[in-house]
Amino acid sequence: MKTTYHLIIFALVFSAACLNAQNGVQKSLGVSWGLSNIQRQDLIFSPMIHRDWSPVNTVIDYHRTGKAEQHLMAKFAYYRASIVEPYEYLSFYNGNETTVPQQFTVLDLNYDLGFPLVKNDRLQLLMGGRSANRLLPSGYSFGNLQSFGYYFSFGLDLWSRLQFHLGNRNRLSATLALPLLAYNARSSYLWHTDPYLMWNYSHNGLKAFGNYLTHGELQSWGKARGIDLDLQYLHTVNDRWDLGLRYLYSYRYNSDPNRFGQLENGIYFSGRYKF
Amino acid sequence: MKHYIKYFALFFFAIGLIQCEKTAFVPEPGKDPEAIFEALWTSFQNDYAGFDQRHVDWQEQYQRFRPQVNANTTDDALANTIESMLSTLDDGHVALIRPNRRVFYSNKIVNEEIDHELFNLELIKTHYLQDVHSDYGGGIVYGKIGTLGYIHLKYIGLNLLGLDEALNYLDGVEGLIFDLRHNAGGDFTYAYSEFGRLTNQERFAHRSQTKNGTGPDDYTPWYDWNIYPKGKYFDKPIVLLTDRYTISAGERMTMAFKALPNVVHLGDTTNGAISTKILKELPNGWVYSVATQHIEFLDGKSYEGIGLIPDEVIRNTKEEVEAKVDHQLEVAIKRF
Repeated sequence: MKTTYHLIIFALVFSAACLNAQNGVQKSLGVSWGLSNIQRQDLIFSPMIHRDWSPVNTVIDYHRTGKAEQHLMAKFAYYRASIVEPYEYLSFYNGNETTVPQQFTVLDLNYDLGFPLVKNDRLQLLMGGRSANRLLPSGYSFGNLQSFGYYFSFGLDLWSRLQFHLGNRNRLSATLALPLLAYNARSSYLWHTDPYLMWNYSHNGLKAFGNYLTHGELQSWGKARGIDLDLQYLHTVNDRWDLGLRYLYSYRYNSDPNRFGQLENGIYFSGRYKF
Repeated sequence: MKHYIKYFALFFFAIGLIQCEKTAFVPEPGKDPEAIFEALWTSFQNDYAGFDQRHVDWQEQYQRFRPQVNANTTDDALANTIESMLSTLDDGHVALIRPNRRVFYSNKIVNEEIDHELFNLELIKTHYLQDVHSDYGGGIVYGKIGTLGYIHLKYIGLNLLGLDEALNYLDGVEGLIFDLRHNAGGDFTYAYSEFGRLTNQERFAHRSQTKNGTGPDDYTPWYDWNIYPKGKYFDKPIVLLTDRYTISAGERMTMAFKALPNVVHLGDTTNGAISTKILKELPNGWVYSVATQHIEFLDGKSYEGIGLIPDEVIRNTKEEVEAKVDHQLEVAIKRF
């Protein structure tokens, strides 16, 4: 109940801040696509570090720039990681079967609100906050059993962006987000527990999702850490279009109920439409 | 001076990112035979719940089997050692999966397929059922035997969603034979969530607790599992059939049936692997399963490693099955 109360307060304060943001003078919609690498070690499921490169990576951005900077970002990535090549085996129950890789989905839905601290012709430094919503569902497949794992996080990050203008047509930006606190829900220790089974008792995915969410806890830097870095180079093609390259780095760590570590690196091509 | 500050900031930031990589992960277990043995033994030591019920001293197994593994141990020899160690548990939930091999099951009955041929669903379909209805890929088979209804469940899962339709079809029969012989288990929550038509009141069936830490006493609190009435009550007498291959979720469904006053349990004792299991991987890609729960039936006793004992033990023989006779089923029919 206390956690819910904190979340409501947070949501109200943040919404008020958003509403107070002034009318924007410049808007843009961007899409990025690229190749990304993941390294994940979730001790709830395995002591091994699972690695994969994946081209299934997309980022969609909406920027609204005025006196303040507002940025909506949705990032989707999907990985299939395995420590060995899939192999066949013979089961008493099901005959010939083949192992399949672990499946990791990364879904980030963020809203950034920043205000300029330094602003001149060449440089702009913005500081603010990020409503960071990170959904990490996973399918750990061992033998014929696929286990659903989850790490859902809804938090507030400290957010800053440094932007350099390199002449009239080029600019470079570095965005950094560090979590302050987050409401985190993760799979249980050894995941297949009585509560987990009861949360799935209805066999309704939406209800189960709701059950997972309501059994999280508010965590800060002690139990949950992370860094998100977004480096972007943009070239102005014309009044409407920017094209560029982007590097995204993400580090996630959580220690409860068992250690979770994840690093993600991605290189992206970006296009942005201004209106 | 300002330039130096920028470079310093960049330098410390880069160091910070490198530190992320160091703090993100703990060292993986090694891939040599000794490390693999240690990883598996330790995983059971930390997470396996059935040592007491199965009267196995895991430390003693370490002393016995660890010396058989060294840096030069081949894959096959390592697997043999691991399988010998796991066989001391005789647990139907414990298995070892390796590339291009038959899965090893710790339970002797399943691993050696002892008396596997004493149940034959095709025999029932062709010699006993007047009409055969099959759904969910054969996951649920039902029909009538004279004035009686018959339902067989191959596993516990989505096929339970066909139970309501089966009971509708069998409306009007004088009694029901519910056959869980050779039930391979699955997700027992389907058995409990779809059990509603078979009970007219809420009844306690079993309770369970799950490992939630590496210590020997690290368990979640006990959790009660009940069955609840839902839909049109099927108020006829029921004979439940089980055998030594009725395992896991099949045994939990057996517990639910045994909580009912109108059920007689016949056949053979269930497998005795009632806990839930999880699967994990070894550094070389082999997969193993671990049972992580304590389960107590409504009488407060654990039947892990024992199995749920029928009210009357009846076994088929090979000769009977070869002669197209299912003795267990025939006894069940005569009980009505």
